[in-house]
Amino acid sequence: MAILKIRRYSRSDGEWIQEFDIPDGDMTVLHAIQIAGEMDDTLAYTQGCRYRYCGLCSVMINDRPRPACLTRFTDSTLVEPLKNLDVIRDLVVDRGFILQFLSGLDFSVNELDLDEFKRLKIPDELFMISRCNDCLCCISTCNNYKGAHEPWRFVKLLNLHLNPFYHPGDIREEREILHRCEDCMKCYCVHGINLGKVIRMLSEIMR
Amino acid sequence: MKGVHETDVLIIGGGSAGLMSALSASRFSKCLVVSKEPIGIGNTKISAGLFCVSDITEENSPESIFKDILKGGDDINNPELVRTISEMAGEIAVKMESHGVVFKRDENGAITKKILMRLSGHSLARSIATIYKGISLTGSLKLALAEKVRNGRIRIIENSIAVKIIVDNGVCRGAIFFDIERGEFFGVKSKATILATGGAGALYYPHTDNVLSATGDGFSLALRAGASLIDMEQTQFIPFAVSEGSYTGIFLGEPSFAGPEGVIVDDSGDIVLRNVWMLTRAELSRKIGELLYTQKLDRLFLDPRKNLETEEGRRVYENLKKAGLLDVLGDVYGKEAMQWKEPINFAPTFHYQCGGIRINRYGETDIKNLFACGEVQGGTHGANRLGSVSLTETIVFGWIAGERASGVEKIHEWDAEKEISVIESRFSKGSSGKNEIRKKLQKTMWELCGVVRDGKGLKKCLEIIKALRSRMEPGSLSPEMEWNSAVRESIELSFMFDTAEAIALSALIREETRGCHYRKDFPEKRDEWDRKNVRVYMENGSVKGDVFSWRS
Repeated sequence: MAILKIRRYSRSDGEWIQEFDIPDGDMTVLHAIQIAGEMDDTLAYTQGCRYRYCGLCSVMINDRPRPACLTRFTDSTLVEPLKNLDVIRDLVVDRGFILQFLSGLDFSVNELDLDEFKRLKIPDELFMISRCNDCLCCISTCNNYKGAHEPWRFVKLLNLHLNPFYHPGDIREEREILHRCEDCMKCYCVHGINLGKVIRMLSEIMR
Repeated sequence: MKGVHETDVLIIGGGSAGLMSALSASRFSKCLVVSKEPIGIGNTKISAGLFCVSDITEENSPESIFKDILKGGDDINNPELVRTISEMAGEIAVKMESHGVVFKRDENGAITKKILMRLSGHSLARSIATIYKGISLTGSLKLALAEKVRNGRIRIIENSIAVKIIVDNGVCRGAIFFDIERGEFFGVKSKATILATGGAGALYYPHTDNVLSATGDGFSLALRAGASLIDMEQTQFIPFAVSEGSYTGIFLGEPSFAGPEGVIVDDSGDIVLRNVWMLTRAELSRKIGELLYTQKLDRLFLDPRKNLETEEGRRVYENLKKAGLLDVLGDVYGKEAMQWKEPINFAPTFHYQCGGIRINRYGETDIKNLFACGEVQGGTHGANRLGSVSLTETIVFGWIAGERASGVEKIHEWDAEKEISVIESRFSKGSSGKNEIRKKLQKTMWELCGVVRDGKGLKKCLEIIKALRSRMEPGSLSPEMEWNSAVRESIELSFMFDTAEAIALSALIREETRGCHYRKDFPEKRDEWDRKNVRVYMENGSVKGDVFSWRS
């Protein structure tokens, strides 16, 4: 037996830590959470593809944000909802801000003529940031969080500037948020996006 | 006052079919998209992001695509749908890029012959890839959608599952949903409704590479609304997937993944199958199913090691490595497996539902003002789907259905509050023991209605489905709770029963082996089944089936 500890929360009952006895075996943390969910079907968590891509199973695992599907389960693991985000219940965080943020962005789609279409420069950095699957772990890596969904929002903003099909509007009001982050840059991406580079490039664009 | 919304076009589903139909419909109408998961999360997002296109080379004509899809589908496809997709395949790249979806290009920045991939079943190279799989695809579609939200053309409600399509006097009038996040039901009155709910991989869990939310909701909603499903027995399995542990079912590769020298070996290392890499998905899955479930071999391994000793094998290895297709081996089995230095334990996995809701070339179902597009639609693929045609289908038919649905002129009224109250009273009891029942259903589908089937097993499968369904006893589930996954799961389970029954019954009716459907008791293709389709529909609450043909 191994113990899985889950930080739970509900509007009516507040916060508590519940322990689950998980049968022995080599498994991912997501698998252990699934077993816990079968023992107690009031446990709320989100999951999708079980391997790397969907971005739904991110949680804090022993104080570090991780996709639960890519993390090996060990005895006494503590699982908590992603840090810096609003918790709806148990391990479920509010993702509503994603669409809200995107639909607040000012941009239009470029009409390319056929000639441009045939000689399209795709910047290397666009390949890099296209890996973002909105797993939201990066927001939880921030130790100086100011509530603006940084650094995730910077990846979305840079995307608008690097994608050759978009014509971004004015984002100068982002300067202040970006400014705070320029001196810190301790955040990271679990899928290999270089967030320091994202922040530097965006600063350059706004200059 | 219960929550009741009104809209021109209601779209159920937030994958590529749902998003494309919303983008299309929003040109003419106001739309409401309701999605069970946050927008963009589904099988589209975890896909490889491949599309088939025409006209990049002279020989890659719409006619050649048409022929390949019909051949791949063993000629039971709906020819008018195949014609439509073939003719629109030339516009795919431009249509997608005008919504910000970027494709990989050659060194000059153009989409040319150089970057085309030849996928299994296609007679020539005609597939292109987005810059980072399904993730960059949904990322861009979401942004395109957000722009329309900003302009007030599209509204979106996330984390809400459709419970019932409202049909009265043969006309679809909208739907009832359960809001998982708030724990409450709401209704939507619409002029037209589009089902874009995707597939049903969860029926075969854990032996599936689908997202777990693919519980076949749309198949069941359509059946209950009075529409029919066709060729549901055509469930596509991929031969190489993880066979045990937390990653069971996760996609490893196509037959070509074995390389020219790859062989299949048993537990003691004896070769049980050679020359596998040029077989189709269906052919190889069938052979593997035979070994595992008829000859009862415990475990099978793909031994790729000999590839590294030949020039051709080495080249295949390098190509797979470069395309990132070996990374999954590293994550699941470790470094040695990733370098093809040891045999890889595998089993087949459920990948795609080729059958689905019967539609015409405009995406119209049998029910007036109810449309369907994407994996939930039936007819394009016939008995087997070719690689990259599924995403193309979501774009082509999403676009068409969205446009057509915009033409519906008025809302047909209904009493939403009354309908919600009826459903609420049913769900205030909910169901207990659903985990155990769901697992039994999934095990039954895999064992009796999986890769290898026979009449006796399928009859037993239908009996077990019926027995399990009757065990869905009322329990004590309170719907009024934030993030109410228990209510969501019991709704999904009731959909899964309908879809499971539709698949098993269709499989029982088709007494032959064709495409993805392998009947051990009828192991050959039979002439009397040429160009014949299996249809299932619902009558007085039970699933019935018959046979028809697109060509008559």
